[in-house]
Amino acid sequence: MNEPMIVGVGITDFGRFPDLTEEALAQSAILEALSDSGLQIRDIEAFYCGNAIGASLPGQRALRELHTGGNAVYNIDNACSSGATAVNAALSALRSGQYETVLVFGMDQLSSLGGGPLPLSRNDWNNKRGMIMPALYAMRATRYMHEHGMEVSALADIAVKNRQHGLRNPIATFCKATTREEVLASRQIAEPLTLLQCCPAVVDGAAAVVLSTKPSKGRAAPVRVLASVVQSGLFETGPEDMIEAEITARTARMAYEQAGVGPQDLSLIECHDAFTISELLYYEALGLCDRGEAPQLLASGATALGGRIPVNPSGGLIAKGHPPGATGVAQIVEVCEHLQGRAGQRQVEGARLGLTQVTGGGIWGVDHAACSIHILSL
Amino acid sequence: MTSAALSGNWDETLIFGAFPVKLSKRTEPHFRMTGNGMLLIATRTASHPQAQFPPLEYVHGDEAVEEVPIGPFGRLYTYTVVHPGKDREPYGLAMVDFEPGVRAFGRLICTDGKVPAINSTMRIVPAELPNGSPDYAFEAVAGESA
Repeated sequence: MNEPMIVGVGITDFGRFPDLTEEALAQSAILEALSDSGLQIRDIEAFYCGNAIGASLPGQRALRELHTGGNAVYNIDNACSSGATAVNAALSALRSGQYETVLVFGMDQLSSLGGGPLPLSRNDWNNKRGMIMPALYAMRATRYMHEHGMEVSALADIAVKNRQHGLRNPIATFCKATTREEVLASRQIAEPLTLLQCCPAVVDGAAAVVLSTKPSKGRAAPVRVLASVVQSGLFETGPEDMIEAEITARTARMAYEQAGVGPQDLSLIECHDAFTISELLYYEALGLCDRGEAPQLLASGATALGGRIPVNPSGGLIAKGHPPGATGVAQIVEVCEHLQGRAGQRQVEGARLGLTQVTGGGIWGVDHAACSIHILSL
Repeated sequence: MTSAALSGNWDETLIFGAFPVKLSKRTEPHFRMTGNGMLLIATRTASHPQAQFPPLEYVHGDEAVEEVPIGPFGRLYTYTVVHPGKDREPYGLAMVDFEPGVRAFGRLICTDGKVPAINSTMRIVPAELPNGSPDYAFEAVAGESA
């Protein structure tokens, strides 16, 4: 059994495309990934589709006009973690010998929703009482500020950093430069989070990767997957620590063990910065710094491009936007491009090892319902 | 299970399946008014002894469900004020910790627009869900606003 490798990647622009469909976006990413891999669609034995917002049978809808020949399509919805969970499932199939070559894609089109926070289940206890995703993270931010004395300017500085990164990323069509003052002066969404501290609400996009155990025919060097871990949230009804990011810390420990590396070995990270506070919490959960030290790590410049461990060199969700089905796959595409030395103006020089982290949530009692972490290298 | 079995009120016990498992829906209210104020009703069972709020809605088998009243006072763990946009009023949300080790989520009443300080003592007060159903909210006791 040969090791499964990422042999091709594809990604669309992330932006507002109300005249397109998620299927059309996905087809573009799929065709780009196939071209990058040097393979044809008939070489693909199975398809894995991550999709969180669309209607039923998303994979089949995206693939029908590409004439796949009727091979298996696995549709996976794990909220914002859908795409990364699909990659995990695909790797399992490759490692078991079920398939030799598969394609994973993620897609969502939020333009059709007309704006506002991501829709959550209306039957959920918390959601019936007004919970929205920005509010959940705002409550984390409030608590973090109380426990660690963090100033709100640190939150704004995440938004500034990631938009500076996003300006170097040609697919981040929604991204504009911003200042700390502009971030803090933007409209309140859920205090202390302002509009520019939240990932853009209406962004469409798709991403795809080809995975194979066969020798690569791709344009770029194949990428190894040293770790692929998916975990689910614990049911918590007691006075739990909401700023611990327990599921991310747990998933990261498993991923580091699987890969045989530690956070000190990483060259770059793409993490789930749906809101500014998220990235700070994940610095700590991923082991980049100790508890309460995330604002200092940010202020040191270590997590900016050119720093010791750049976080979200793509611009992250804050700069690119967050079509949830696509995000996990897009993060993997980004890390692959850095490892392969083709990330353009945002290239992390000498990148050898990259980590992607994405969560999924929105239900009571399971603060983060899903978390997927991948560690990649050449 | 037939569709007929799922229709109407679920205050009866259903037994269904090839290997029957009893399934009961609890219909007891999730709050209670007392002379000392409003209480929330958490639940716990022998297999899951940590009290939970919201209370169990469905019970499998014959396991006894113990009601655990919580309140009327708790401590504010965290909060936010949501600004839903034009033509809609801001509203508060809070996580409040109660003895014996239960965290409850609900609306936060911000009297005169003032938000409470973290760790403030909170009381449970009557409120309504957007559909008009009776519900609860949290309010800081006097003098605990930030």
